[in-house]
Amino acid sequence: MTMFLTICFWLLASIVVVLVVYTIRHYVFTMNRLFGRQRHPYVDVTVARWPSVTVLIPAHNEELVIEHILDALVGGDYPHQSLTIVPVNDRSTDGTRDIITQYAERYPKLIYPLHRTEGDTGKAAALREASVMATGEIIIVFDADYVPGAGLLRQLVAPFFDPQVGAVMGRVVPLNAGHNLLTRLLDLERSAGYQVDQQARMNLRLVPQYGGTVGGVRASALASVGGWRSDTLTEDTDLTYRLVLSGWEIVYQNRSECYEEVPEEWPARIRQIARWADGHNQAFREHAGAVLRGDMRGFRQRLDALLLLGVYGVAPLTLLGWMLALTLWYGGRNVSGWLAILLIASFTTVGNFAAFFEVAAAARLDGHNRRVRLLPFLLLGFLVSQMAVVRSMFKIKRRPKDGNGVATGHWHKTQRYRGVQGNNLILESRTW
Amino acid sequence: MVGVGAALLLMLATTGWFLLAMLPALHEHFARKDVSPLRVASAAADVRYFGLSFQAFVTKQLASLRERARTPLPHVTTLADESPAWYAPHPEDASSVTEIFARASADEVETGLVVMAEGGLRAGNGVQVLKELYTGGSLTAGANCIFRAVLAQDDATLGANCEVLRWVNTGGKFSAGRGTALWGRASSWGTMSLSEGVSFQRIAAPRIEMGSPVRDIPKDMSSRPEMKATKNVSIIASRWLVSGDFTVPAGESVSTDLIVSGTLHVGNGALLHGAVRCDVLVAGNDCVFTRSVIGAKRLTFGARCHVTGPIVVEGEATFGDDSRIGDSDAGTTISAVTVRMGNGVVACGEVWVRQQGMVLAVRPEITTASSAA
Repeated sequence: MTMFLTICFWLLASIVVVLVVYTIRHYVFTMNRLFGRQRHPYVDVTVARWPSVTVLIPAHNEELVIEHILDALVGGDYPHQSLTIVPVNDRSTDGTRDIITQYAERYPKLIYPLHRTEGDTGKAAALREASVMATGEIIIVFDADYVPGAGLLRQLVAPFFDPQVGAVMGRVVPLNAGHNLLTRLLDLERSAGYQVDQQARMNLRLVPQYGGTVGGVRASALASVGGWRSDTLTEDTDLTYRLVLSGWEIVYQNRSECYEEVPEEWPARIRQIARWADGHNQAFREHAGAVLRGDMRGFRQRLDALLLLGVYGVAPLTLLGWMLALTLWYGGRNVSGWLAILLIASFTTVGNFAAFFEVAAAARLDGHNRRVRLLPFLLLGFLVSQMAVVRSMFKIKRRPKDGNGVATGHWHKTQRYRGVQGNNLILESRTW
Repeated sequence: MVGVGAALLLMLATTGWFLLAMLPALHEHFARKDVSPLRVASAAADVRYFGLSFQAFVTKQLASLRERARTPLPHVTTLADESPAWYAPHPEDASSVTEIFARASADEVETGLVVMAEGGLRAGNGVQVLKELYTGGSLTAGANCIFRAVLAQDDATLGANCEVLRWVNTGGKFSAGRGTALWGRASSWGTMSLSEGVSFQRIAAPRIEMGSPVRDIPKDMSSRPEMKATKNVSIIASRWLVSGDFTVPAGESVSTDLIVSGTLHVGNGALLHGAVRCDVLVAGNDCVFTRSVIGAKRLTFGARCHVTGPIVVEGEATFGDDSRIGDSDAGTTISAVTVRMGNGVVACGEVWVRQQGMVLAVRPEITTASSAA
């Protein structure tokens, strides 16, 4: 019994150390955003001889939204002679195919649709096949429900003038932020994730994450790491690590904002977070070894890459920590001594609020001073996320393969809520 | 009984303490005062954003002013938003801005008047216009003038030691005299000429001439001996990756992208066909860069260098005399924290300086690879 409790104790101590590291990370990122030097090196590049770009839009049953993104891209200011738009219709059973065909007929030199009827399904497979069609030096990817602003393509392409840059990520902004409590909480979470986390990584020259949409990748960089893999659950996280491990740099552009729709129902949110957790944990198993071996340059980058890979491990670790603490308490192995109590009290006071502090700072940086009052409700969001992540931990699996050994995926997508609204919802204030 | 009461009291106090934090949350949840999505203002990065927005405002105002004008002479009036303005209706005459003060009250002078002239405008030495100025023709200003913002349909010429506090946008040429300070944004659709000692932040024009360009210098694209990869070069995805410092010898060329983690020395007359990324760049005279040049700390170009692609540096960029940035048929962007432009530099496109750019009177001191050796 004593041996068991001792093991529990040291296990708990290890978990506390991990949680403390993540807490410090929250504070470092937040403080950097509030008081550090901000890096936006490529945002000023507005005039240039723009390289050829292929925009890929993977779509599966997107009749509610596909028109909006095609209109937005056609109406953008990227020179049309250097632009190719490839909507990738993957076995849609609604009106997506017809809408895409109409646009291709209207813009025959600009839109080259790819209608997939066979092969592996899913976004990664669609991208993999479409990237063969991509003739541009740069490949930009948008999910079909996004509404890019007029100048967004130039902003996303500008960092690629740096030959070290392999991928670029823009900022995702919820369009339906005010729909209900869930969307308001997701708006706060997205704000923290981009406004603080991603930008702090950019400032500190760490590892900003390529998020698979509102972003792009250099075609030669993609080819050099073997292209998109269709056997991963989150092709974006996987690509992020393959690029950085091969020496490419990833740039985050905080001012390259694009609207998206966030889930409006809790079950959809739970499925979304579970899918991300699955993919992240898969990437952890595949790339953590290489990161630890030092295949990346710089200790700070390696540490950040590892913490980013393990971020979905925090929820089950916390749960395990609670169980271990209870076991130790009822097993009679209690922490004693003023130093231990001081440490626990300090962590309870400061550590538990690290994530909330980050969200509050992000809301303030965005100029949203009233919605920050919703912060206590985030506890609800975190508990739901915790549950979804833990649940997904117990059913980790790679994507199944068919008889030929080819991975057979399927479309993981969030329900679309948009009605007749579209890029007319882009808000701009005009002043001088 | 007392124990139960105390327990209940404790529970109530704990619940109340918890709900206290929830009160503002519940209030915002139900009041829904901050629910709109984050504003995405993609057009604000346009150097002409303020000028174009003011142009739209002016167009609306002029129609109303023309209807209400009872005299062809310049007079003080009000705009649709009740702000006082000095309006010169006659488009043929070049009006004098000094008349503003003769016809306006002391209060109006103190708070400032929007100046709107259908024709051209002249401003004598020392004139200050602390609100926006619009002219349907050209603006000619003397020395030591201060303008808040200028929108000129044709040319604008500022004398020595003038200041533009926010922005200037001209439909024709724009020139700034010696020692003028252009805060904020300055843009013109015609050639922009900045004399020695002019400081600037964000400027844009099809052709920006610094100091006194003497002649057009052709880009020397003649073939040079191809540089062989040295031992410290790793070739990955057709790029040269170098850990540490690196030197491109004078008169040689590199045809791939070049990424140097330390200082990159480029000898006189070298030709770099690929994009360049380095910590510090020290380029000699007559170098040609046909694609982008990206620096983490400092970029220094010698005299008569040509750079075709965007130049981005998170520190200082210095351009030697008579350098050429961008081409007349395809402009480019320079982005830096500070910029020092030698005499005779010509840039086509935009220059975005986070702190201050300056047109130097004399050529800056430059240490090149060859001279250092």
